Amino acid sequence: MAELKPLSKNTDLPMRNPKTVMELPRLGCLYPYPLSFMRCLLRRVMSEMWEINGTIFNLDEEGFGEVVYEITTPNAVYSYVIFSKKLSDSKRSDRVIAEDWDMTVTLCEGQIDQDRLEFLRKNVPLQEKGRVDSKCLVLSRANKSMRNFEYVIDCLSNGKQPDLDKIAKVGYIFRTTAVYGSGKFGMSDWDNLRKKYVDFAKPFSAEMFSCYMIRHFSLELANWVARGRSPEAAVELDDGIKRYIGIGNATGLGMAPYLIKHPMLIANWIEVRETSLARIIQYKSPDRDSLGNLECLIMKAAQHLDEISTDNPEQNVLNNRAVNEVNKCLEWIKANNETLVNWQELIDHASQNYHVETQELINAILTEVYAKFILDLESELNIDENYRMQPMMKLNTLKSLIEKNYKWALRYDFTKSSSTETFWYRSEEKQEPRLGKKSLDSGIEKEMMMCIARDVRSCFDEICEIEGSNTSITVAHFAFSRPHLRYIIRRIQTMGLTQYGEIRANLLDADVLPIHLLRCKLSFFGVGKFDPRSKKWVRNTMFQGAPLVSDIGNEYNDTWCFPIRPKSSEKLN
Amino acid sequence: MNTMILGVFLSGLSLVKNLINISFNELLSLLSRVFEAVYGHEHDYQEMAQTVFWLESHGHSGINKLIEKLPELDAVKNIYLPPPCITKEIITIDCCGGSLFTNAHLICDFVFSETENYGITKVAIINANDPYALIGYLGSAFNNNLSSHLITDKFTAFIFPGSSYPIIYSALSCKKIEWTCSKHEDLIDMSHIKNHEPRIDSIKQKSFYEVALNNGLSISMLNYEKLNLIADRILVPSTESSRLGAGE
Repeated sequence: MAELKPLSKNTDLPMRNPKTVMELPRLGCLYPYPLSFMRCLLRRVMSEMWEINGTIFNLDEEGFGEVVYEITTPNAVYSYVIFSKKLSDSKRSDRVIAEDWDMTVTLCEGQIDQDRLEFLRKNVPLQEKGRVDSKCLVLSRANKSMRNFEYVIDCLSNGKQPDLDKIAKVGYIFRTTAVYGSGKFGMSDWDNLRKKYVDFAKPFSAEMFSCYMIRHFSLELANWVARGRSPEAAVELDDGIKRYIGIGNATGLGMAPYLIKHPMLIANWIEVRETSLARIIQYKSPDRDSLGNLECLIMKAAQHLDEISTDNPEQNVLNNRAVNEVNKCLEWIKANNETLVNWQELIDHASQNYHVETQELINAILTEVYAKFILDLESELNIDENYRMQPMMKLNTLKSLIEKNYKWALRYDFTKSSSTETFWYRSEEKQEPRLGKKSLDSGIEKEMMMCIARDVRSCFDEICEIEGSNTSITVAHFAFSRPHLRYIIRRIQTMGLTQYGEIRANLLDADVLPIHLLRCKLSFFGVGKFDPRSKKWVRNTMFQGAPLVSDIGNEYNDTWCFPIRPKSSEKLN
Repeated sequence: MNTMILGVFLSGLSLVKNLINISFNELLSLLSRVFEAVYGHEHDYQEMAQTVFWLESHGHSGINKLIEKLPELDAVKNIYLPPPCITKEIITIDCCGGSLFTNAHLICDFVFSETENYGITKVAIINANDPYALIGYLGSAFNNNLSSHLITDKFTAFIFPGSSYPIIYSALSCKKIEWTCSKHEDLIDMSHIKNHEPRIDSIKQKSFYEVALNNGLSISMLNYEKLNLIADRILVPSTESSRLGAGE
């Protein structure tokens, strides 16, 4: 059986209750924090001073062709290989089911020779339809943001810097539409990557690096194309603007099943996050410095939220409300800064007076104030997942586990048709996960296993059916004649060993909002600026405000959270 | 002579051409979809997949063994086992002619639980096919406390507590599968394998696994396609309405 230990030897840490933390609407309000994966990655890149150099730059004037960057870390050499091609506007799509992209890329081990480049040239542009090998760590693609890319080129080629108001509306000039790792399409397995490539041995580190490199290339490409169009008049994009340009991302339902399939991993990420917060509450107290930092960060976060441009009315309401509430909180802090003796008071004030979105924003800001104090927890983000059966457990122990950890699941009434109206399935188109309505769509017989609450209910009911006759039998005896319950039994047993357990939601409900699942996972990646396009997919921005490749070697301040618009663009022209 | 060598070389090339290199993650996911397609959610399809995956990733040709069996597995959907017959001396489990690929995990759960309770369990598994599946599950289950000794018509195997690698010896003549599982290694009679060299030891299995993890697994393209054909049954045809709202 997996051995799980608390992250801190101090079991008295004031950890929040799973009942509060694991509710899906709250998970859907999480913000990036210092241990988010792209922050972890950049701390490493900057502190180890990775060298990133273009070794092949075969692009035509319009930026179509091939580019190879060589990345030298203290441990190894990698190559980042990019294929850039002309794509008609009609083919440009964020969907997984797209067949063609402006740019396709791979991150792979070692230096690239002509044979290797030829192999990659044949396969990488095909993405899911190609095959790569275990020397490849990531396979990805990106499309131009039509709103911004042409505008930026136009400005630069006319000798001007782009208007920051326009940049601020989107925040990127390229957008990734899928980032694959962990053994997909023949790539290196995660277990192999973790052992062999220590530079990327943290969760999603290679994937985040790939996104960082797409951002880097998109900025180099803008300069290149502008110069190609107007060699005499073109200017280079200003570094301040470059830092403000991130890399866009479009995330859909494909991310949701991951969270359900890897509950141990998610529970661990949550536990690390909650341990960070609990440590701060336990060991740190408000003083002049920390209150000053907190106030600055609240103002920065409020401005960051205020600057987000989205057409989604619900997201605008959330952002506006969070801005108003966080400003009220700032006033409260200023009024009470002499008497505030611990951070729990602030958290209590937030939970009593503000909505969940603001509460989680304040928690994230607190972790930013004390970032250095929690960085050691970075090493706890990896976990070996296994969901082994504990066959000798008595049935009444299993029943108690359900009553203790899955009370939330037993509250749903699955006899109501609305409780099971939604079903999740995999489409024939690239196995894309989709949602169906039982009363409208066909395919229910092929539904995915996303029904944890319902399965727990079934298991509990079947235990109750034999109660009284013999609940002291082992689960092995019980499952022998009920193999349909074996999966949920071992899941209940395993999750009973974790501190935070399952995401608490009925994902089959007619009104389920999968977007909460997406945002939860994206916050762990470090993604911000959520721009929901429907309840099923969201556009967002990665690495906005992050240092540039050219900043590697300079002093690094890990303070690029809540990126805000640079002060003025006039001065830059 | 030269033509012959060339012929062998070319047929070797075509053999290589007919292989596909896949990662562990891809194989496990594919097997999981295969068993889900065949049995739906009525059985622990992920555990069935894990059993075959363990065999393949440790050099026991799990895929070939599964492929041989697939038509039969696909045809017989009722794989429920009758309750074990328990006497003081032995537990008898009747697989009714079925494959252990689908039930090895349930049988192992049962035997582990009995052994934890009573210290030692002797089991006869009758009317069962594909005894290798027991090796696959025992390898992946990694039991810290128990020793197991399996005698089948295909092999004899011993697994130490806390080991993921069964040591495999040649077969003894045995019509049923006999399994002794014990908390105490010295309670198991191993006289018949004393002085015998193992056919497959733990080093061989471990090194196969490590090479495969590093380079991926080569499996026949034909087998890969056969598995995908079944796995794809879990997919739902795409419609215009199903595409709506999930992206632009």
